[in-house]
Amino acid sequence: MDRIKQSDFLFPFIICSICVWRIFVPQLPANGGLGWDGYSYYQVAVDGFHSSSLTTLLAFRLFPSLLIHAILGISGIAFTPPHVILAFKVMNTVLITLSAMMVRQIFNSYKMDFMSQLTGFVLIFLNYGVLNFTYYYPVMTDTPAFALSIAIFYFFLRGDTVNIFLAGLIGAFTWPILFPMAVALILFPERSATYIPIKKSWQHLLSISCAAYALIAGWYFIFHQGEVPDMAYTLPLNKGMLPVSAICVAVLFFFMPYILFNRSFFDLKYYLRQLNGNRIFAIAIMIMLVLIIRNTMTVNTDSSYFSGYMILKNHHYGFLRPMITVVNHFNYFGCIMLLMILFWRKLSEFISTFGLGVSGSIFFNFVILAMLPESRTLVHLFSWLGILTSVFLSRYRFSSIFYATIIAINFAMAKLWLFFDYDSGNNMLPDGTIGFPHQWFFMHLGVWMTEHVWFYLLIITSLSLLLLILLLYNIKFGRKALLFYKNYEQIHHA
Amino acid sequence: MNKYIMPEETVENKTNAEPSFKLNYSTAILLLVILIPAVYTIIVNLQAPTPAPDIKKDQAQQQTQASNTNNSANAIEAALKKVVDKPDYDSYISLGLAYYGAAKYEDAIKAWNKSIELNPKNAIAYNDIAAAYGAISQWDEEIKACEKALSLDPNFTLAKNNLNWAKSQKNKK
Repeated sequence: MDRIKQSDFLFPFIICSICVWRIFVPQLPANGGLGWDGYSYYQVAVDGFHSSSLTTLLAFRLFPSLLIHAILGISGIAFTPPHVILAFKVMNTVLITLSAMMVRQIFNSYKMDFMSQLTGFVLIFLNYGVLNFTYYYPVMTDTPAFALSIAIFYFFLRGDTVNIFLAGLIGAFTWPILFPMAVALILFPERSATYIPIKKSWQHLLSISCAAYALIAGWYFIFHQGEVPDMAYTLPLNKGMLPVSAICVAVLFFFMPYILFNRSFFDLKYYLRQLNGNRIFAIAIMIMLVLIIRNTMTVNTDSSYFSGYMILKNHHYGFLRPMITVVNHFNYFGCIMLLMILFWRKLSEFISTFGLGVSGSIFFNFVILAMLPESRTLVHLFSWLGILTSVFLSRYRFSSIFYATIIAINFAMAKLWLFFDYDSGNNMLPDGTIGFPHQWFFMHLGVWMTEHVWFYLLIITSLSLLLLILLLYNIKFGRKALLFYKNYEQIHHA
Repeated sequence: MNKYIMPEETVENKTNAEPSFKLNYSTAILLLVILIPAVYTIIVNLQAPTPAPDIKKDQAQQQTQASNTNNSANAIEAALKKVVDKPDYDSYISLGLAYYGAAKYEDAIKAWNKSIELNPKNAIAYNDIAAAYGAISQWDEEIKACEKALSLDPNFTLAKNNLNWAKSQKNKK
C-alpha cells in the first residue's frame, strides 16, 4: 500500500482515468459541440496559420488550434468538427495528465505527506474548471493555459530558464497573459525571498489605495462611462444592492496587496542581486520572437476584447451582485477560494517568499482580472494558487474531518455527477444555445448566471465557508467570553 | 528571518542556485511542441505557393455537410414525430429549430408561427422567427419580429442583439 501511495504515477493515473471518462460524457450542444469561441478555434484548426478568421485576439490564442491542425494534417485525418473536438479532448487529457505529473514532482520536492498531497490534488484538479468544463466545452484554450501555467511555475522552481522561455513563448500564443508572467519569473529567479513585513503604516496605505482604486474605478465605469453588461443573457447590475457590492469589492481589494508586504521588494539590493545580462537578453529575444511571429500573421478583424479599455472595464462586473466574483471562483475552482480567504494573511506571506516574479504576477492578475466573474479567465492563476495553497497547508496538521470536508466540497462543486440533459432542449435557440434556465450549472458561469443561480451559490459558498471555519476553530461558550482556539498546528517550523 | 523555506525544499534541491540555461527532457518536449506546427506550416506553404484547391479541406467540408445533412434530416424526422404525438408550443419550437438547422428557413418560420398560435405571449418564438428572416436577409421582417419579441419581453437581450444586427444590415444595403 505504501508503495502505491509513494508512486509518482498514482495521482496522475487517477486524474488521467477521470479525464478519459469525461471524453465520453455529453457536451455543449451549441454549434455542433464547438460552442461559440470554439467555433473560431475550429476554423483555425481547419485553415491553419493563415486562417481568414484570425482576429487580433485569436492571433494570440491560436497555438493549440495550430498544433491540432498540424497533427491532423500529418495524420491525414479530415478536419471535420467531430475530429477536431476529439483532438482537443485528447490534447486536454494529455495536458492535464502532464500537469498532474509536474504537480506531483513539486509536492514530492516539498516532502508533503500523503494526505496533504491528496488534498492538494483535489484542490487543483477536482473542480468544475479543470475536470468538467474542459470536456463540456472542449474546443478552448483554457486547458493549454492551465497546463502551461503549471509548467512555467514548475520550471521556475527548478530554475530552468530555457524552459520558462519556451513555455512562455507558447503561452504568448495560447493565453497572452502567460507571457508577462513568464517574463517576470525569468527576471526575478530568486525563489526564497526573506519575508520581513513592511511597516504597518505602509501596509495600510497600500491596502487603502487598492480599495480606493477599486471603488473609483467602479464608479468611473458604472456611472461615468455608463457601462452595463452588454452580452446576451448577462445578469443586469442590481443598483439596490450596489452599496453592498461596492463594500465587498473594496474589502477584496483591501486584502490583495498583502502579497506585496515583503520588505525585500522595496529594497534596491533585491533587484540588483538578480540583475543578469543573460536573462535580460533572453527576455529581449522572447519579445522580439513574439513580435516577429505576430507580424507574420494576417489579421482580418480587430477584436474589441483585446483593447486595454475592454480589459479594465471588466472591473464593473464585480459590482453586479455582492460577492459575485468570490461566489463564481468558488463555483468554478472549489475550495481554493475559501482557503485563500481563511488563510490569506499567512498565505500571502508565504507566497511573497517565492519572490517578486510570483507575487507580482499574482497581484497583477488580481487587480486586472480577479473582478471578472467569468472565472475561467483566471484558470492560469488558480493553478499557481492551488499549488501554493497546497504547499502552504502541508505545513500544518489539521483534523481528518477538515481534509475530508475539503474533498467533499470540491467533489460537489466539480459537478462531475451532473450530466447535461439533451432531452430538455426544447428551449434550444436558433444559434444552438440552450435557453439558460435549462443550462443550470453548465454555462451559468460568471456574468451569465441567473439571479437564482447566483443566490443559490451565494448560500452554498457562505455555508461552506462557515463549515470550514467551524472545523478550524473550537468555538467555546461557557464561563469565558466567546473564544477562538486554533484547531490546527504548524508541523514544520516553530 | 524567513520561516518558510528550507534549503532542501525546492524542486531538485536547487534553492536560489543561479538559474540553469541547460537543456533537458522538458526542453526537448517543448521544442517538439513548437516545431511540429511550425515545420508543418512552413512545409504546407512551400508546397502550395499558389492558391490551389485543398482536397483535404474540400473532403472535410463534404463530410461536414453530409454529416450535417444527415443530422438535420434526423432532427426534422424526430421533431415531426414529436409534433404528431404532442402538438404543443414546445414541439413546434423544436420543429422550427430542426428546419432552421437544415437551412429550411421558410418551413421554420411556418412552424414557429404555429407555436405562436398555441402560445401568443412567448417572445422566444418571435425571436426565432427573426433569426430565420435574418438568415434569408429579410431585414424588415426580422426587425418586425424582434420588435414584437421585445414588446412581449423588453429584457430579451438576444432579441435586442438581433434587432441591432438587422438594423445595421438594413442600413448597409
